[in-house]
Amino acid sequence: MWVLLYLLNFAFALLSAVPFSGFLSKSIGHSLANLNMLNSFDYTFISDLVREYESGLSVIMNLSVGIILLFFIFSIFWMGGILSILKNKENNYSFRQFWQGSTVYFWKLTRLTFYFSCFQIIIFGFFAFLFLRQGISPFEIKSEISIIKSIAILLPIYISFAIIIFMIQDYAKIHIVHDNRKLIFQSIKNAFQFVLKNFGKCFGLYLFNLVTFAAFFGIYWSLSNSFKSDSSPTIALLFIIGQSFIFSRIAVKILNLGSAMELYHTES
Amino acid sequence: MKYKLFLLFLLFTCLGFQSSKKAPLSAQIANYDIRVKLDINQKKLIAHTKLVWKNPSADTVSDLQFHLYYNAFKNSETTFFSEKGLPSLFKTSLKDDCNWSWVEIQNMTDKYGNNLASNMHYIQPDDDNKSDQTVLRVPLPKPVLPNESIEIEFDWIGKIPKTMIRTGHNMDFYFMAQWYPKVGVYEPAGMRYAEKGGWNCHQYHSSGEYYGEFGNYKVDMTVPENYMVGSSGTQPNPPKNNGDQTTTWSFEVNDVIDFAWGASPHFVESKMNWKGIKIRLLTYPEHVHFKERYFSILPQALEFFEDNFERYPYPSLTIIAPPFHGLYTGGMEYPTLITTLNSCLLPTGVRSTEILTVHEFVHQYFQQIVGTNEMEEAWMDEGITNFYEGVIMDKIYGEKSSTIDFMGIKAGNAESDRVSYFNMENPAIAPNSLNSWEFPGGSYHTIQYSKSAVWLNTLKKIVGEKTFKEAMKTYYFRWKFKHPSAKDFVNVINEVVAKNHPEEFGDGMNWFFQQVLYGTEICDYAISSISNNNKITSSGIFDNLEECEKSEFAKNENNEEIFISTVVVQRLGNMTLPMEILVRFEDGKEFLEKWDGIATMTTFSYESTQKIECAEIDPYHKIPLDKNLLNNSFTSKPNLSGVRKYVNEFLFWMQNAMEGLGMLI
Repeated sequence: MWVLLYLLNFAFALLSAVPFSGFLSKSIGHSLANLNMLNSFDYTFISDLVREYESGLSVIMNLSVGIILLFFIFSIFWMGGILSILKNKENNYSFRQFWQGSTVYFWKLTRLTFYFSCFQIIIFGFFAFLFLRQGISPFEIKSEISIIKSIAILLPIYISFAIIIFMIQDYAKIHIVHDNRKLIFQSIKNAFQFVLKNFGKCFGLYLFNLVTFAAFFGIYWSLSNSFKSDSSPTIALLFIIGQSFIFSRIAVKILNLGSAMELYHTES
Repeated sequence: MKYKLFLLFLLFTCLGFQSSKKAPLSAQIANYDIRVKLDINQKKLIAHTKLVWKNPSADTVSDLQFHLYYNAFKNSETTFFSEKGLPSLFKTSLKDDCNWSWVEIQNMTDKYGNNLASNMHYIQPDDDNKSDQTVLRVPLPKPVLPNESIEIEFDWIGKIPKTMIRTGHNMDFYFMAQWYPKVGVYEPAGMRYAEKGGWNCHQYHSSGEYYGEFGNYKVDMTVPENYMVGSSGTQPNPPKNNGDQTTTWSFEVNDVIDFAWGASPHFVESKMNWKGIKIRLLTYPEHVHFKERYFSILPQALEFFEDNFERYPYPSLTIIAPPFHGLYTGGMEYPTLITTLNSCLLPTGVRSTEILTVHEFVHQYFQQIVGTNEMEEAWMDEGITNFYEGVIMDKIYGEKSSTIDFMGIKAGNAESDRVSYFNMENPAIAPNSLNSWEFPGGSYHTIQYSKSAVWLNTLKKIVGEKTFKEAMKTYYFRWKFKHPSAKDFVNVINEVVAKNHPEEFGDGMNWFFQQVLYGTEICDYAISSISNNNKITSSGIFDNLEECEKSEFAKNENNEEIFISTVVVQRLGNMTLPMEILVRFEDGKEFLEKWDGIATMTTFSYESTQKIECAEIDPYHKIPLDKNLLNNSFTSKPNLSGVRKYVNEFLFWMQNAMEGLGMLI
C-alpha cells in the first residue's frame, strides 16, 4: 500500500513536472544561463526567468495548483481505503477492499475534512486575533520585543491546539471506518471522548510519530545539503534522496494511522 | 625700535594665527544660530533663530525665501498630502487628536530693527496650491547687495507631527528633521540651469527630499533633563543643567547643508574613534547588541571613501537607530548624522542594518558635500549613493550575497538594483531627468535609486574601472561644497573618458547619457540562432549543358569536412550599445566579435572544419542594463543539466505540497 500511495503521489506530481520540464527546455535549454541553475540560488537568473517567461510559468503554476487540489480530493477518497486495510490488517492486502473502503467512506470523510478544516481555521483565527490584538504597528507598540514575546508564547500553544485537533480528526476517521455510524458528529464526539480519556497515550503516540517525521526530514536536509548537485550523477543522487524522503513521509502517515488504529482497538 | 619690533611681532602672530585657522570648506552662505526648547507636553518646539545670509551673486536680492516643511502636515490639502494621500496609519491620529503639525514664524526683524514679518506671505512656486504653506517669501525693505550679508532674527513655534515621513515624535522618541524655517538656495546666473539669479525653493512634495545651502550651525537644544540628545555636529561644551528639570545641549557644525537632531530618555550611547573621527551611536536598549554591526561596517565605508575620494572632512558622525515606534524616521541622511534601522525580528543574514548604514553614510559625500538638488535631480544623490552602496556592500559581503544570505536564499546588492528596475511594471515609464514630484505611477524610487545605479554600473564597465574612478574623483573634487547639475556631471565624465579613451570615446559619452539619463530606452540584445551547415562544393550546370557537377560536402586537404557556421544576433530593445560577442568552436577556439549594436540584427559567419559550440553576447558582463540575460547566449546543442536540477526540485516540492495539504484530511 505504501508503494501504491507513493506511486500515486509521484504520478500526480509528474503531471505538472513534465510540462514544467518541457517549458524550461524550450525557453532556456539553449542558454548558457542554464549553468547558473547548477550553482546555488541565483537571484538574477530566477528574476529574469520569472519576469521574461511569466506567462508560461503562470500556466504551469495554475496547473500545479489544480493538480494539488485534485490530489487532495483523491487523498480523501483513498483515505477510506487505507483505513479499511488497516482495520483488517490480519487479512492480506486486497485491492478490492481498498477500493470498497474508498468508495464507502468518501462522502463521510469529505464532510469530516470540511468540518475539521473549519476547526483549524477557527483556531488559527483565534490565535491570530490574540496576536494582532496587542498591535504590530509602530504606532501601537513600543518595541518589536513584544511581538517576539507574543510569538514565543502563542505559537507553541497554537501548535499544541492544532496538533490536538489533528489528533482528534485521526481518531474520528478511525471511528467512522470502525463503527460506520450514520452521523459523523457521533464519530467526532466519540473521538473527542476517546482522546480525552487516553490523552497521554494518544498525545505521546502522535508526538512520537511527529518526531519520526522530523527525524526523516533532518536526515533528508543534512544529506541534501552535504553535497553540491551540479552534475548529472549528483542531480540523480539528489533525486533519490528526495524521493526517499517522500516515501518515508508517506510511510510515517500510514504508521501514524496504523498505530492510532491499534490504540483504538486496544483501548476501546 | 621697540615700536617696530612690536609691529613685527604682531605681523608674525597674525600670520601664524591665519595659517593655523582652517580655511572654510564651503562658501558658508546660510549661517544659523538657533535656540530651541522641546516642550514634550504640548509637542512643540519653541525657538529663536538668528540667520546670517550672504548674497552669493552679483544680483541685488530683494527677498528671502524659506522652507517651512512642517506645514506640509498642516491640513489634508497640502501638496504633500494631495500627492501622497493620507497614509492610513496616520488617519486615526489626525482625526481623533487633531494631530496636524505646523510651523509659524511669530516675528522677524533685521539688524536695523525693520519688521520683516508684516509683508511676509506664502508662495506656491510649483503648483499654485493655496492650501500649501511650505514656502514663505519675505520681502526685504533693504535689499541685500551683491556679496553683502543680511542678519535677521525671528521667534518661531513648531508643532511636532506624530512620526510622519522622516520626522516627528512617537511616545517619548523625538526626531527633529526639517524642523526649522530653512532658507532656500539662491542660484546666481550660470549656476546649474539658472539664466538669471533667483531662489530655488520648492514646496514640500511627497517624493524627493531636499536642497540646501552650505553654512554653519550653532544650535542650543533645551530638553527635559532625563533626555539624551543626538545631533549633527559636535558638542563644544557638555550639557548644562538649567536647574528647572531641563538640560541644554549645544552642538556646532560648519560647512553643512542642514541640521537634524533627536532626543529620547532611553538612548544608550556607544562611542568609537576612527582615525580621529568621533563616531557616536544612539540606540534603544533592545538594540544595543547591534553596536558591533554598526561599528564593523561604518569604518569600512569610511575607509572606502578615504581610498577612493578623500577623508571624511568632518570631526564627527552620529548614528541614531530609532526604536520600533520611531520606524518612520529611520533610513535618512543629514550632515554628520544618519538614521538607520534595525530590528530584532530580522536575522543577521538580512543585511538591512549594514545596507542602510552604508547608504546613509555615502550620502555624506553625495548630497551633503556635493550639494546636488534632490528635488530636481534626485538621481545625482540617490542614484550615485545607491551605486556606491552596491560597490561597498558587494566588496565586503560578495556580489551574490551582500543583501540577503539566509537559509539558502541569496541576493547581492547591485543585482538587487537591476532586478528592482526591470521588475517594474514599465521600466520605460520615465527618464531620470524629471523633477522628483513629476514621476508617474509611484516610479520615483525605482527610477532614481535603482535604474541610476544600474546605468552607473554599466558606465563603469564600459569605460573601465580606472577611468570611471578617475572621472568620479574629478567630479567630486570639482564640485564638493558646491551645487552641480546633471550637465556638470556629464561634462566631467565626457572630459575624463575622452582624455583616457580618445580612439573609442573621443566624442564623449553623450550618446550614452541621452539614452539612460534623458531617455527611457530599454536594452535587450539576444543571440537568436546558431547554425552549422556543411559547405557544399560548387554544383550544377556551368558551361556545358551535358555536364552536371554533383553536390558534395566540401573537404579540406586533410579530408576534413568544412562547415559554414553563422551566429545571428538581434537587438530587441530600443537602446543601442556597442556589444561584444564571444563565439566558441567545438575545438575550444574563441573569437571575440565587436558590433556597434545599432542595426536590429547582424550575422557573423565562419568557414571552418569545426562547428560553433556556443555564442555569448557581453561575455564579460559589462552591461547589467541588458534586461534579459537569459537570451544573451545560445548553445548549438541544448545543455539540460540545469533544467533537470530545477525539475527535480520542482517535483520534490510539488510532492511535498500535495502531502502537506493532505494533512487536513
